[in-house]
Amino acid sequence: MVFRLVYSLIRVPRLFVYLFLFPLLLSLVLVVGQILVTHFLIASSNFASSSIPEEDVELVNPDRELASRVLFMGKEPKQVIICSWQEIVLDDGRMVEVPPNESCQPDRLDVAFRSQNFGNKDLSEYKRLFDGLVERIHLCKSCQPDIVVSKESDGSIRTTVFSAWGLLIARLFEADPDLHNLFIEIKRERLKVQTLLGEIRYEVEGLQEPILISELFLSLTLIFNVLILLIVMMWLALKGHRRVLEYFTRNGALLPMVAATGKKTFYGAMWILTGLRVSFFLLASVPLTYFGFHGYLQEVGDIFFKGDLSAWAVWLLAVVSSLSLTLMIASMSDLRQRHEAMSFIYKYIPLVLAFIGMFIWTLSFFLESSQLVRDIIIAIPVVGMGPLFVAPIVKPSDNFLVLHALLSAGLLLVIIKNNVQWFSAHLEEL
Amino acid sequence: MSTNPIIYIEADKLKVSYNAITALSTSGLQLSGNVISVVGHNGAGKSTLIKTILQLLTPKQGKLVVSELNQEGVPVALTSDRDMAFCPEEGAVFADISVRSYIEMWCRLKHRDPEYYLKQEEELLNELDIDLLLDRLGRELSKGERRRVQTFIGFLCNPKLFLLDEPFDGLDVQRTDQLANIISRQAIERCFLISSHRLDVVENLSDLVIVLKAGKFIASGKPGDVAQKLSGATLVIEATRYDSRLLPFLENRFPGFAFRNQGRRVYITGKSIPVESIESSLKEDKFEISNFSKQRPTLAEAMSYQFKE
Repeated sequence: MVFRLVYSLIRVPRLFVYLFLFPLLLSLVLVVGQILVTHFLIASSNFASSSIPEEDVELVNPDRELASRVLFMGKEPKQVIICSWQEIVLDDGRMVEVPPNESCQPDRLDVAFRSQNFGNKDLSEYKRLFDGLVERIHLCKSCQPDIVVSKESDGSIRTTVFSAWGLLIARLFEADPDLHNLFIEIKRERLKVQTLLGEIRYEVEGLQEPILISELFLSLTLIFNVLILLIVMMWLALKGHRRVLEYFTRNGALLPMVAATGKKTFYGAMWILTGLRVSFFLLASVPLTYFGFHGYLQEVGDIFFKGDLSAWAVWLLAVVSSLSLTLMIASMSDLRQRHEAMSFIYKYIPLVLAFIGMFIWTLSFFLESSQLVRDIIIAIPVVGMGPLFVAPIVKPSDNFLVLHALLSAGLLLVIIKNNVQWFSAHLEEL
Repeated sequence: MSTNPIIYIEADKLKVSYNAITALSTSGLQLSGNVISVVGHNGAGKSTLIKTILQLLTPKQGKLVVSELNQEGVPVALTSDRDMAFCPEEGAVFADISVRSYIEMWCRLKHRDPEYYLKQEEELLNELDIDLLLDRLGRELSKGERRRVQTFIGFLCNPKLFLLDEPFDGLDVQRTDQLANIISRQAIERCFLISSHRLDVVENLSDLVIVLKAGKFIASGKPGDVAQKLSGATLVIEATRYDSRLLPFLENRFPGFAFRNQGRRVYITGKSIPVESIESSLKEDKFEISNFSKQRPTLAEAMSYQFKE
């Protein structure tokens, strides 16, 4: 009967989308987005890392070169020329502006400086900036290529773009060759410092390994990704589950359905749906994450637990039980106190406790407290959640991670047991 | 002698509560009937009784068993998933799917055949005018239409006991009669438990009425007997012509009774009505009365009196 109910529900296309497909897709989009953002962050922070290939340093402004090749169909762009337009009087007495010569015939991808007195301005800086990206700079009063730089009445300068291609060029103006060279210089300097100092390690008494400061950013980014994956999984499991039940309640179908199938069957079917959602999410997101970070995994594998799979498993278990406990406390307190005006506060209590724990833990490094204090904090459920998250970097004793996992799992069971009626009783409906 | 099926409701030291609030309680109860109506004012415990019968609520103390006699005459307890169907007050159709998909989903669930309703219940489908609603989305239905759909689904489940919460609420006269007729007809095959405020309808429809007040069972039996037990009798005072002063005068002079005005007549319901005192008061104040008579109270009058009490 349980499976028949699941089958009956997901056979209805709209219910299939609402109960199953939509949360799944939403989660996957989140994971893909997070992988892309992480890549972007790692790439943008690359100049600060030690791994700068020498050829990158020698390459001059790759963005500008690529854009030029696309814009000018592979041809080498000419040197930018300045064209000062002239006013002439036509036979019918009208006054018009014309380019000064044949090579100044305007093109859409040129730039115009529209002002009465741009002629007096020093354009050498602009010339340097536009070289290789546009062929002509027109000084005129009324001409209009796709990019127009104008001087406003208050003296300010404004650039108006009239096409998407123009926008692409305008964006590339910001990739100023000087700026690029400056980045390269910074990279060189950092490389020099890193060569002088080598790997920076923070040795703390009591930790299994010293903390690798040089790889902190990459490590934190990847930990963040693993956590997001776990949190989305739990969202699908807990929040998604609750939302489905609320969907039934909202449509008045909960009571007739529960009555017609029996409580156990109905809630069993709901959990099967939840399990399916989570399983499909993991099936799709774990390979995505793995291949998404394939390039970094070797590097991170060496930093995190030195590639020790059992240490990884202990950490993952501790994180899962800790997050489950936190979510359960937040969810239950929110549900039980929902009629109170300040009920939303309960939701954030675990978060506040976790922040306090993290604060004390961080402070302990500056106060040079004993490692035991940090170990005790890390072993306390909820309070030790922050330090637990960064355990792959700080590498505390495995025993305290196991203790955290066990205590969290135990508390989770106690909370579930004491609040069992809140799982089957659906808000005002029952 | 009726051949309609009968269900038995037995409760023993029953107590159903929501946290600290007791919503339903009885020391002991034994009832049986074919079409059973549960009446009572708002908050009397009607919905709690239905949810307890449906095994959606677990009693804090004692038990409530609904059973029927099998062919050997032995009572067999009914379970909600196998033997019961329920139609809530608001009806139930998912807002964003069509009525057809919703009905097919139930047919697939209960009969493994999404077309069961067309094959087996086409007559009822047409009678309830569900065929006109099949391609509409749940959110496009009125409350009455949603309830009709869920009522139809209830019948599709072939329950031994069909529980309906306020099935007549908001229905026009024609639809009320139609549903009452369907219930009467279907009562040959199954039992019904109806919670309703439409006392005029349930009085004619039910063979057993249960009256709840503040979570307690205060009366049960045939509708007429229950009405009499709750309120004694009804005195009908008929004036020679319509007099707008008559009702306020009586209400003012004889508080504690339930009054109802219909044209030239005023109905007074309650226990120990002081008929002589009323007669003399009316004479003193020069009301022109043509007739005094006593009759059995209706269920509505009895409940009105109960409310005053």
